[in-house]
Amino acid sequence: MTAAARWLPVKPSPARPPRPVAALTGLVALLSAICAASLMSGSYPLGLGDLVRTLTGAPPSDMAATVLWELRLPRLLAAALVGAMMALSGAILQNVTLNALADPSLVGVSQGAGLAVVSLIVLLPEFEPGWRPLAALGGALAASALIQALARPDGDAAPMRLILTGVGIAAFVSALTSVLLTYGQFEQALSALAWLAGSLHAATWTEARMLALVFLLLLPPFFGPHVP
Amino acid sequence: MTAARSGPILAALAAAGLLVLAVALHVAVGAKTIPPSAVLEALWSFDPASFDHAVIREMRLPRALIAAAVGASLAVAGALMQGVTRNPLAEPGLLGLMAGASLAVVVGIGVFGVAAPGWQPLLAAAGALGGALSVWVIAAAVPGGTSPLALVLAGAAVSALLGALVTLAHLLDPESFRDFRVWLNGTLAGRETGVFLWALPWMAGGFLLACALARQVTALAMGEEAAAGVGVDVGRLRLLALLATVTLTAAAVAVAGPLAFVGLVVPHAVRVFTGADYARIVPWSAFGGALFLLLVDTAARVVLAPLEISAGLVTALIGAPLFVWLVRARL
Repeated sequence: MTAAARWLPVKPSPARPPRPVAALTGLVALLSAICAASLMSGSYPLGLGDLVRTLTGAPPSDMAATVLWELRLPRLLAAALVGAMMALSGAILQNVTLNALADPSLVGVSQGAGLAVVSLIVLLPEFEPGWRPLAALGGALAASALIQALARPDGDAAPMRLILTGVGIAAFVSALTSVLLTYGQFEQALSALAWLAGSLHAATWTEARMLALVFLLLLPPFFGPHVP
Repeated sequence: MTAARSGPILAALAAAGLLVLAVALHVAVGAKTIPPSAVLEALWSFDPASFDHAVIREMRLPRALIAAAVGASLAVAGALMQGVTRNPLAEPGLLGLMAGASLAVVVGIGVFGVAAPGWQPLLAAAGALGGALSVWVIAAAVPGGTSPLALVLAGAAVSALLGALVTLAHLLDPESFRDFRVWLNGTLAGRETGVFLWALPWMAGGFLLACALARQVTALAMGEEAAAGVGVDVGRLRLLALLATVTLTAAAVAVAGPLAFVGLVVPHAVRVFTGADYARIVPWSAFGGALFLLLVDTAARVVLAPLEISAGLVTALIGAPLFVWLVRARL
C-alpha cells in the first residue's frame, strides 16, 4: 500500500488567493451582512435603523438594548468564534494528515472532549460548569495523544493510519460516553445529553469573552513561518 | 475415514458443543441464577407451574437464540464485505449500513407508524441499501477510489449525517426517543420474538446466499483480474454479495438494533484458524458470531448486575481496540 499517503490528497493550492484584497473585502462584507441579519432576527424583531441606533448608544427602547447587548451579541460572538475555531482546527488537521476529509469530529478529538465533559457532569456533579472547558481540553489532548501513540508513524501510509486510528478511538470513546449517559444518574445524564447536542442557546458574555481570549492566544502561530 | 477427513467433522462437533455450552451459560446466568439441572428440565419436562421454567422458556431461551442468530448474521455480513471490497476494515456498522437501517426503522415506525413486525426487516433493508450505496458512491467519487480509508471515512460521514437525522426525528417526536433510545445502542434485552420470527427467514436466505458465493469471493480476494480469469463475473458477484450483506445486516438490525463491530471482530478472529478460503470463513464466521454475541450478552448482563449494559456498547468496547490494532498491523 505504497500509494496510501496519496489517497484523497489535499489539492495543492497556491500559497495566496489570486486577488487577496478583493477576496478579503468580499468575505468581510458577507460576514457583516450575516451578523446584521442575525442581530435583527428573532422573536423580538429589530429593524436596521433600530439596530444601528442601539449599537451607537441611542436605543429606541430599553427592551431593544437588553435583547441586543445581553442576548444576541454574546450569542453572535460565540457562534462566530466557535465556527472560526472549529474550521481552523479542521484546516490544521487536514494539513497535517494531508487529507481533505479529516475533521476533529470524525477522528476522535471531539469525542475525547465530549467524554471528559460528560464524565465531569455525570460522575463529579459537584464541579461547576466553569470547569467544562478545562475538562474538554484535557479530554481532547488525551484523545489526540492516544491516537498519536497508537498510529504507527512510519512509511507512506502514516497520515492515513492517523485518521483510521482516530476513527477507532472515536468509536471506543463514544461507547464509553454512551455507557455514562445510559447508566449515570438520570438528571445528570439528561443535562449531559443536552450539552452534547451542541447549542449556542445559552451563550453569555462569559462564554464569548473566554472564546475570544483563547482565539487571540492561539491565532498568532498561524502567521508564523511556513513549514514545508 | 482417514484422519485428514475426520478433522473438519471433529472441529464441527467441537464447535457445536461450544455453542451449546454458551447457550446453556447464557440461559443459566442472569438476575436470578438458575441451576443447569432446572434449565434441562425446562426443556425436556416443562412444568407450567414452575416460575423458573417459565423464565427460561419465555424469556431467556428466546433471547439466547436471538443473540446467536444476530451474531451469526452480522459476522457473515462482515466477512462478505471484507472479501468483496478487499478491505480488512469493512464492516456493516463502519460502512453506513447500520446507520441507514436504524434511520429507516426509526422513521418508518416513529414517524409513519408502520407497526407490523413483518415490515421491520424490509424497512431496515431499504435503509441499509441506501446507506451502503451512498458510502460506495462517495468513496468511488474521490481520487484513489474505494480504498479502505475512503470507504471508512465516507462511512463515518454518512453515519454522522444519518445519526443527525435520527436525532431530528427524535426531537420532532419525543415519544419515539423513549421507544428507541435503548434499541439504538444495540441491545438484546426485551426483544420481541415477533420481529425475530419475521427476520429469521431473511437471515437464513442471506446466509445461504453467502455460502453459495463463498468460492467466488475467495477468487476475488486474489484480485479482480485473477477472479475474471477463473470465470467469475465480478460485477454480478458484487451485486449478489451486496444483496446478501444488506439482507443479513437489515434482519439483524431490525431485531437487535445496530450492534457495532461484530462483523469486524469475528471474521478476523476466524481467519486466524481457517486461512483465506471463504468457503470456510463464511460458515465459521456464522459459528463465531453466534458464540461471540452469546458471550458478550452474558457479560453484558453480569458485569453491572442488576443493571445490564447494552450489548452494542460491549461490542464497540471490544471491537474498536481490534480495529485500531488492525490499522496498526495491516495498513
